[in-house]
Amino acid sequence: MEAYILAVLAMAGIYAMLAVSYDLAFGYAGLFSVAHGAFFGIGAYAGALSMLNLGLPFPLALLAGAAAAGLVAAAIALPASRLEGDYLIVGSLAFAVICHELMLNLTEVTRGPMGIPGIPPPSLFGFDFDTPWLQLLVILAVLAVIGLVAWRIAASPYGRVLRALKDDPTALEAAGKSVRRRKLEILTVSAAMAGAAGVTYASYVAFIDPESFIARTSFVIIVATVLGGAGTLWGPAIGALVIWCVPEALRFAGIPATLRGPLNEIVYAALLILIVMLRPEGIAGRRRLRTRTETGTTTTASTTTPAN
Amino acid sequence: MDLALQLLLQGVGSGAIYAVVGLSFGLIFNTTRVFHFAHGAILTLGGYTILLGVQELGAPLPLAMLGAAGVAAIAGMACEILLYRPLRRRGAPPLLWFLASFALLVILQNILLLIFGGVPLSLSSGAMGRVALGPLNVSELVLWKVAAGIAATLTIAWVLVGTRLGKELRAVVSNPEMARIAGIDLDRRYLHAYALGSALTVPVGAIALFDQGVSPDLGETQLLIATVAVFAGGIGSYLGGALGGLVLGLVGAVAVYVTNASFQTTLALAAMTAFLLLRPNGLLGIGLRRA
Repeated sequence: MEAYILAVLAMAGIYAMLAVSYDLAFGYAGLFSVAHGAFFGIGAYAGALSMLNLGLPFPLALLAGAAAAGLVAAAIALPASRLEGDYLIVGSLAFAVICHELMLNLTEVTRGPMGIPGIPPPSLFGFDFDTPWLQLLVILAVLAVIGLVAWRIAASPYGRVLRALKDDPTALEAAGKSVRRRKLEILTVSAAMAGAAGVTYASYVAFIDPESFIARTSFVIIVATVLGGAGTLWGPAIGALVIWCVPEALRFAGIPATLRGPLNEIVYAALLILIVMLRPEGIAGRRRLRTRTETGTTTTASTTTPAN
Repeated sequence: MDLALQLLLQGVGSGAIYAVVGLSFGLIFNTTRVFHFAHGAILTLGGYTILLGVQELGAPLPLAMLGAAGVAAIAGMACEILLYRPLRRRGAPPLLWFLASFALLVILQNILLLIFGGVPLSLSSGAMGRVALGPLNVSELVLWKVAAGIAATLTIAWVLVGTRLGKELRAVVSNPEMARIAGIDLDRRYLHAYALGSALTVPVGAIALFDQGVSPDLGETQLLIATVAVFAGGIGSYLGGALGGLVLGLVGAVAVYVTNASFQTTLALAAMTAFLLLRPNGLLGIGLRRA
């Protein structure tokens, strides 16, 4: 029972890293991408391969994974920072699928669908963190660092610029800030954090394959973020914990294992729709997500004259 | 050279299917500006409905497709009425739309997974016939794909040019506010776009039943291709999705020719995305309306 609870907490911790980092780009800067799971995967592969093939110790692998995901994000975001709204979605969707296809097909590097087994547990100066408690400790430590960095960014003047990026990019440009540069920076930072989460995950589960980094992964991250409250940082972390309790609740409800996977996703999606309809600001949110859209932005006249 | 020609034919075949999906998604997206993720699940639903119609009810294929078109249209309209319309009424920002629509896709897809299981189901009884076309030996399936592509394109072209619905839809695309003032009932036309766009996916499901089979994630892949096709074809152009789809299929064929089949999707998507970055307005587009 103890191992079981620790396993749930560990996964919740890893998804908390993902949700918090996603929140920087989505909740603060208003950039809706469906590629966060792909950056998670890039980090996981980079970390796993650098530990296995180069023999890097865990802390360096962590940096390598973060750097890999961050660099890819920067390379992608450089041209893509022109993209906004719908274009960003299509671009990130295509990017996520391309990543998954490459993980499957670059078999010389990734071993394709067979995945990479035997990833070592985190170690520091020869000490292996190989029991469930110690692994949870490592996860919480990485989460703390990511959370701290994210919080520092959000609380700084730079964080206010990010909020402006979401609320009023035109005003931001008028104030002399480059919208494109901010987008590029925050996407890179957010992806690098997802990359670090990927390394931690790879080291925790010891085996990775492309199926762990599909569009569904991004979906779960998005649900955790929105459920907890986008734009609050600690909200998404809570959201991640809630998300990881759902499958366990289904297990205890006595639902057969074969039905649990699909039901689980249905519950996530239903939660998301409920949040969108009833409480867009999420569990922890204080600001309304739907702020100050001037009437011109909605294509229908619903805000001024309700039809019928 | 023969290989190149065969690949080209394959490319035209997949391009024709992408064109149908692109047209159907484009009809909805251009009209309502809703990023209708759940469209993928509607496509899959159509495929399963045909399967049930043929296998359980013993209906002939055309009749089953007609029934599936009805089911898809109703499901599409239900999405609009139950989810998108309430969101529009309360002036929800785009982010919430994406979330709601994405969630709807996941729900529908998983319901289909619970009912039909994850294994692809198909109707094909053995290999498809092949037809000699000059020096070429063409699979019947490719011909059906091309026929579906042409039929869908002509249907939409006819609707746009020859019907009142089409005229109003074009008005809505060019300026929704003006269209409303001119007396077009936006809510009603949105509903029609969902119905028509959803029904239009049925040939894709039907052909999949004789090709790779219908599985719950069929529409997810098709949706991705459709979105890229619509954006590459050009936002604001109803027929742009067909052109974008066709080009995507051809680019895929070229990708297979120069590398190998495993990198087809990757290269085709990368090429189209790169194209989008260079020319965001797409091949035929009038550009995304500035908010």
